[in-house]
This record gives sequence, C-alpha cells and structure tokens, in this order.
Amino acid sequence: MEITFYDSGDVKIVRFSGMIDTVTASDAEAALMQLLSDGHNKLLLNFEQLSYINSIGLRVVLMVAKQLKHSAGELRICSLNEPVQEVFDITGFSSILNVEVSEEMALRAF
Amino acid sequence: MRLFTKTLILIVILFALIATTVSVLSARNIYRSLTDEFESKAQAIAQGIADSSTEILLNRNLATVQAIIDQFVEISGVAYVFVSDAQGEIVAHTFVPEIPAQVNAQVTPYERQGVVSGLDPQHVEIEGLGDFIHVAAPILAGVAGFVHVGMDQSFIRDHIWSVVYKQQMLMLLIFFLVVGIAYFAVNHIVQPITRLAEYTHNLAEQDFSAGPDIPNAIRKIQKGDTSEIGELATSFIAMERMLQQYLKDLEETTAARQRIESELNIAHEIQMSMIPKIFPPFPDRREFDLHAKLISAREVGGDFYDFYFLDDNHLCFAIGDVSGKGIPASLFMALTKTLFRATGGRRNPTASGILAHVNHEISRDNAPCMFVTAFCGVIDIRTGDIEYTNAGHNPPFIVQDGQVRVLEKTGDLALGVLEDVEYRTARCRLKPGDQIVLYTDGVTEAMNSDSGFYTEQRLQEKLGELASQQPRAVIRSVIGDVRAFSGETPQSDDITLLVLRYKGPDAENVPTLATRLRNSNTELRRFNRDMEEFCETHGVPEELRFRVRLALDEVLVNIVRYAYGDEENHEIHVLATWIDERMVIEVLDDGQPFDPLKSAAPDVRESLEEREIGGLGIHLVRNMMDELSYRREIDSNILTLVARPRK
Repeated sequence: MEITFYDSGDVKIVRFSGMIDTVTASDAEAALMQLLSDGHNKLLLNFEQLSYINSIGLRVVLMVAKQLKHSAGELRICSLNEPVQEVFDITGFSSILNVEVSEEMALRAF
Repeated sequence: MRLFTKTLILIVILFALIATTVSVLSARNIYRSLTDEFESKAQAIAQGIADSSTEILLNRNLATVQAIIDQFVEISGVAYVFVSDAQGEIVAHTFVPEIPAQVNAQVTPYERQGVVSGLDPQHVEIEGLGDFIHVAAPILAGVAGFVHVGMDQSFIRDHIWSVVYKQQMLMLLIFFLVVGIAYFAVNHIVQPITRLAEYTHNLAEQDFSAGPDIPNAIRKIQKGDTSEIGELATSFIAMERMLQQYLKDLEETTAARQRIESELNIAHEIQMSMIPKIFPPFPDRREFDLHAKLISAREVGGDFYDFYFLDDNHLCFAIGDVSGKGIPASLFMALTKTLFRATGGRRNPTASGILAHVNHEISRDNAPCMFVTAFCGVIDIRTGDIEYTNAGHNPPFIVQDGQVRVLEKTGDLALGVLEDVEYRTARCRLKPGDQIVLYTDGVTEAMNSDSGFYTEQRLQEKLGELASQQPRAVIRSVIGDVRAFSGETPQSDDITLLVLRYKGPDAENVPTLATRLRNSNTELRRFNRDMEEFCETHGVPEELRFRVRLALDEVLVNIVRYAYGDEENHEIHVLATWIDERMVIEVLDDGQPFDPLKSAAPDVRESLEEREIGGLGIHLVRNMMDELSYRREIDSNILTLVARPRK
C-alpha cells in the first residue's frame, strides 16, 4: 500500500493506493497518527485508489475521526469506489463520517 | 585586454631597462670625460702659471702674482688658485675670506718632505667648501715653490645632473610616444583575436536552428587578415558550420528513431491483440482449465499461441515459433496465426489438416525462406482424447499422476519449408487432472550469466512440482523460475507457455478450492491470493469477489484472534465451491467454541463519539453474504457462508 501526502491550504490530503487490510492497517495508522501529532488537524483521506478495506482499516479510520473530533479538528473522506462505499454504508460510517464524492467537493467543505 | 596588458607591460619594462642603462652609462661617461678635462685643465693652468711666474716669484713680486692668479680664478671650473713658496708658506691665494685651515695643513707636509709631486691630480675634500680636483705644479722643479689649482667638482656634478635630467625627460617623452604607438599597434593585432575569442565564446550559447550567423567583423578578419589570425577565423567559421550541420543531423536521426520506436510499440500492441488474452477464455466450460502467456523479448516477436472450439466438443489449441526475431518474424507470425485461425473454419478440420494447409499457404510465396515450428492439438473434451501434430516444435509435456513425460513427436517438418507435405497424426489421452504443457524454446533456452541454459530437464522437474496446480499458477511459477534463473541476463527470445488441464466431462466436477492454513498473517495473505485466482479462473463477478474477500478476511481474522487461547499453531480449513452461480464457503477451525453470530451487532446508528471500535467484522460479514450459518461439530467450529452475484 502506498500513502502519499499533499497539501491544500491548511488541509493535509492523504492519498491511499492499494489495500488497507490486516497487514497494512498498522502502516496507515502510524502515518495518520504521525500527522495528528505533527499538529495537522484538518485531514482529507482520498480513497480513490483504495481497492479494499476491512474492519481493521475501518477501526483505524474511526480512531482518527474520534481523535480529531476531540481536538476540534476535521476529518473528511472522499472518492470511495463502489465496494468501499458499500462497506461504509453497511457499517454506518457514511453517516457518522464526512464522506464526499470528490476531492474538490471535500476541500470546499473544509 | 589581457594579451594587450601583457604586451604593454613588457614594453614598459624593456623601455625602463634601456632608459636606465643609457642614463647610467652616459652619466659615467660624462663624469669621466669631464673629470679628465678638468684635471688636464687644472694641470695646464697650474703649469702655465708656474712657468710664467717663475721670475715674478723669484723677484717676490707678489702683487703681480696675485693679479695673475686672480685672473685665472675667473676661468670656469676653477675654484681656487694659490701659490706656496719653497718654505711651504702660501704667498698668494684666491680664497675668500681666508685660507681654510685644512689647506694649510695639507700643503705644508709635502713640501717639507721635499717631494716633487707631479702634476697628478688629487681629489680633495675641504670642509665647508666642497670637493675639488687639486693639482700642484712645481715652480722651478719645486725649488721656488708650487702653484696649486683646485677645480670645483660640484661643477661637474651639476653638469652631469643637468645632462641626465635632460636625457630622462627626453626618454620619458619618447616612452609615452612609444607607448602610445604600441597601444595602437598591439590593439590592432590583438583586436581580431579578441573578437574571435568572443565569437567562439558565444558559439556555445548559440541557437543553431538559424543559419550560421557570422558577424561581419569576423568575416572581415577571415577575408582581410592573411596572418595566422585569419586562418584561425576561417577555421572557426568552418567549425561553426560543421557543428550546425551535425546538430541538424542529430535532430533528424533522433526524430526518426523515436518514430520507429513509437511505431514498434503500436506494432506490439497489434500483435498482442491478435493473441487471445482473456482468461479464463471459456468460463462456462468446466471440463478444462486453460491458461497461456507470451512475453516478447523485443517490441515485436515471432511466437504465438491460439485456441478455439472447432465445434461444441472439440477444442483446437496450438503454439508456434517463427524462425528469427524482430519485425520480419513478427510479420510472419501475423500471417501464420491468421491462416491458422482461418483454416480451422473449414469443414472437418484435423490437427494435421490444419497444419498441412497452413504450411501450403506460407510455403507458396515464401521468398525470404522463413519457417515456423508449430504444435497443434485437438482435444475431445468429452473423453480427454487428444489428436495432435508436431511440426518441428518442442514436444509438449504431459503431466499425469504426478509424473511428467514428453509427448512423442510425430516427426514432421516445420511449416514453410516444403510446399506439399503430408502431416502425420498421433494420439494421446488425458485423464481428469492431467495437464498438457506447450512451450517455446524461449523457456528452455533462457540463459543465465554463466551462459547456461534453463533446459528441458529443469522445466520437466518444475512441472512435476506443480502437478496439482491450476494452469495459471503453473505458468506463473514457471515464468518466475525462468526469471530467477536468468537473473540479470536480458531475455533474448520470446517466452511462450500454454497449459491445459483436463477436468473431465461436465456435471461431476465442480470448481473447488480446498485450503489448509495456519493461523498466521502470512498464510492469510497467501490464501487471499489463491482465492483471488480461484475466483478469476472461474469467472466469479467482480462485485461478488470483493464481498467474498472481505467476508473471508473478517472471518479468518476473527478466528486467528479469538478462537485460540494458546500460542500454538492451529490449522484452519477452507472449502470454497463455485456451483450454480453461487459461492459456498465453509470455514472450519479447531478452536474454542465460538459462535460469531451470537456477538452483538454494533449499533450503526450511534454517533461518532458513541461508536465502539469493535464488532464491525461480523457485521460486515452478515451484510455481505446472503446466508450465514454456524454449527459446532465435535471439536470444530464450522461457519458456512453463501453469496450470490447481485444483478
């Protein structure tokens, strides 16, 4: 899995490429936790190139979301493909998290 | 200007040297000649006075003597005159106001000694008065006394200085004149060189797309200057022209090469599109599994494979290798493959018939005398019988009961050699589970850095290890092995493999994946890959694949984490079946009794703060699968999942 970072104003965009599963979830967690401890509190997770996510990956996302909520930050997620969107819908994540269709829309919402 | 300053400094130094030398030499000369003159003058005067005043002195006519010497003191250069008598007393002098003590002291001694000193001049220094050339002339051989004449040396010195000064001034004038002239002269010579230097310096930054832009100044140099500088200018101009031409040629060559490369890439794509690449090619035919791969060495190559149904029960499959490489081989490959396909459409085709016809066609107009080795087989999928013809190609391997053997050749000629050839047929039979593996010599003749070949033996051994694998996995492993063998050595020939695994007539055999995995993450990863392949091989729809993958992921992770209280290794069994368009999966583990369905579903309506991190896995499984059931059998947990494709 590849994680790349971009900046757009004070928003940190994190693009995931590949899968967030049992093996790679800890890398995702470490990267995102690092961003939080560096003081970024506006994160946008771009899942356009994310082909797969399981419950462990969801757990990481939830944890980051809770932390940001706690520190008055913002977490948004964008560009989910169909299967991943379904996963988010089933687990109710799409209603408790801010999910947008595209990166531009997400950035505007910040 | 550096050349110029150099030359200038040289001239200045030279000039300074000359001026100094001249001045020094002339100063010395003047000094000497003037001194000589003064000395002789002094001597003449002294002697003259001495001779003419002998009587006067003897008569003691001092007034007259004084008058005489007063006259002589007027002569330029004469500083003083005095006369001393036999006793050494000075009787007449011209000193003003009085005789210096030093003179007195000096005069007396040599008269007292009675030395008749000659007229040898002496250089004396009188305190307070200066330097003088002193001459003493004897009167009557010294008996009557001496006449002393002193010449003023400062006179000489002043004269020298004045002359030297005038000289230096003149020299300076000439110097500036020379410098002025030299400046123009050197400039004149140096200027063309400077211009040329500038010109070549700018050459490096020039944009050569325009024509040679030779400044007029340079051209003038080239035409007007006949010295070495003119030659230099000519060379530079010629050089610039050559550079320009060279760059133009280079541009053209590069553009041409890029064109060819892009055309070759397109040709590669066209070639690759001629070969069936979609696998599994016949997902609805469960009697066999077939997979093939072609890796070209260059952009375009001469290997091919093909397969198609002659009718409902007969599958024709073939592999071929055109002699040679590159564009000629690829063109011939396109021709051969098209013929092969077209021939299959005729009535009652057989393997030998197809090859005979293809051979006939390509031999007919075979000007470049290229040939193609080929193997063609027709399998009756109801029985597993294969009828085949081998036209000079590497004999395929049959993998049967875990053994790998070589399929006997039919002894036939390669295609394209002779126009009318009869091709023979041989037969063999595959039992369910058997494989037939076709390959080209790009596999067996792959080289490593020690110039060793991969060889048929190695391939045979490898196929033995893969006897139970699906064709896709077999090909993947073989190619991986060949690549590992060659290492850094580049691929020199096309690598082609086709594997057909017979599974028996329909209805009895259902695609199944049975796996044992240990409770470790590595095994989970491996299982995911196997599952992915199984789904792809049997044409499971993409969206179903995702759901199955996620569900199994969650189930297995759960088992690995919770089913075992100890740190021991345990095995998990998974049986996946694709039957009647349904995916049925059974997961069996020998851990503690654990019914995942009993765990509370997370409340997905909770807000972000209220949500617990947990319980998501089983929730997902329940929603992704159409049916989910659990049962405990003796000491095992069995979880059954069923999923259907969504419309």
